[in-house]
Amino acid sequence: MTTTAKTALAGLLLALIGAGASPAQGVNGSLTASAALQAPIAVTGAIPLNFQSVFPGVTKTVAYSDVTAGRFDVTGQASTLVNYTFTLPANLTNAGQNLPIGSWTGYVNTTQSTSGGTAITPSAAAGSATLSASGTLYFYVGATVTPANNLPAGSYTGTVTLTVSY
Amino acid sequence: MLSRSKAALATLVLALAGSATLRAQGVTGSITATAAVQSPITVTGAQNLNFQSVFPGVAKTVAYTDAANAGRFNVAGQASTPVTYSFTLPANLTSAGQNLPIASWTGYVNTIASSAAGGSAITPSASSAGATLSVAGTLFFYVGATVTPPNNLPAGSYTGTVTLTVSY
Repeated sequence: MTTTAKTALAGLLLALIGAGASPAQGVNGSLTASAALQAPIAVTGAIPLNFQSVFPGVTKTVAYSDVTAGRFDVTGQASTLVNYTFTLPANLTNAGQNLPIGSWTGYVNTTQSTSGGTAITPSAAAGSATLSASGTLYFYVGATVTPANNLPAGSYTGTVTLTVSY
Repeated sequence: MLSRSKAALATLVLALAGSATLRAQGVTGSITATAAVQSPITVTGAQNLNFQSVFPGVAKTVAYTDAANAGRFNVAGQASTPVTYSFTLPANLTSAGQNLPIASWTGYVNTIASSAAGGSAITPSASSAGATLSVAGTLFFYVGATVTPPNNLPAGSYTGTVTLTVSY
């Protein structure tokens, strides 16, 4: 439990003790405690990043504007600033073999398009963007794989994670 | 402050503390990055180029069709896929610092193990050229050449290395 939460709990206990002592007074008043809870963020991995066929010794790039680029769909409170970070793999893997992946490219847009938005470089460092007037945000991701000459054939996979917070 | 309001305030504090914790975590979504890696290329020096006995002053040629003596490389890779290839060829075979010139390279590339039919004649060189692996993912290269020993070349076993490089 965080210190903040402990303090809050202590406050609650104090309040309850106080409540226990007060029934003899017999006088009530009331107030309203309100919190305008904004729309929660949702992040959906919408389209996988697919390099399709890759040949050993031949570097292959999928641009963020390609149809096989990865896409994340984000929803949340309209017109609100959010922070985002990516968790990126260094390799795609298959049966203990590594296929290096790097040179990440990306694009963030309030509409589902790779024009009209902003080019970004996906990384673990926080970036920021603003949800559209309808509460949407789209992230596109591309990268480059560099298979070694002797890389065994197979389906190599990795996971790309986008984290978004208010 | 009234007791009810105290309780409400405490609850509100708790709610804010909760939301602060959530804020730090963020919301995540993931996608998979996938690559279908095709078969890697292997190149095997399958048969050496052998000029057998050579006499000083007498040029000797091994044709790529010489089944017993022509050099052969076996290549394997992804079926029906184009590749590029180039040769690294010696200018001389050598023995104890002596040079036996080798040149006039000839060659043949085929999807089956035959230097007689079904393939294409090539001129091995350092220049890149193209070929396509068979539906079984195979390719065969045959190599011949001519050696021109000077009259005074000392006797000995002269050797050199022929290298075939293949890439997608």
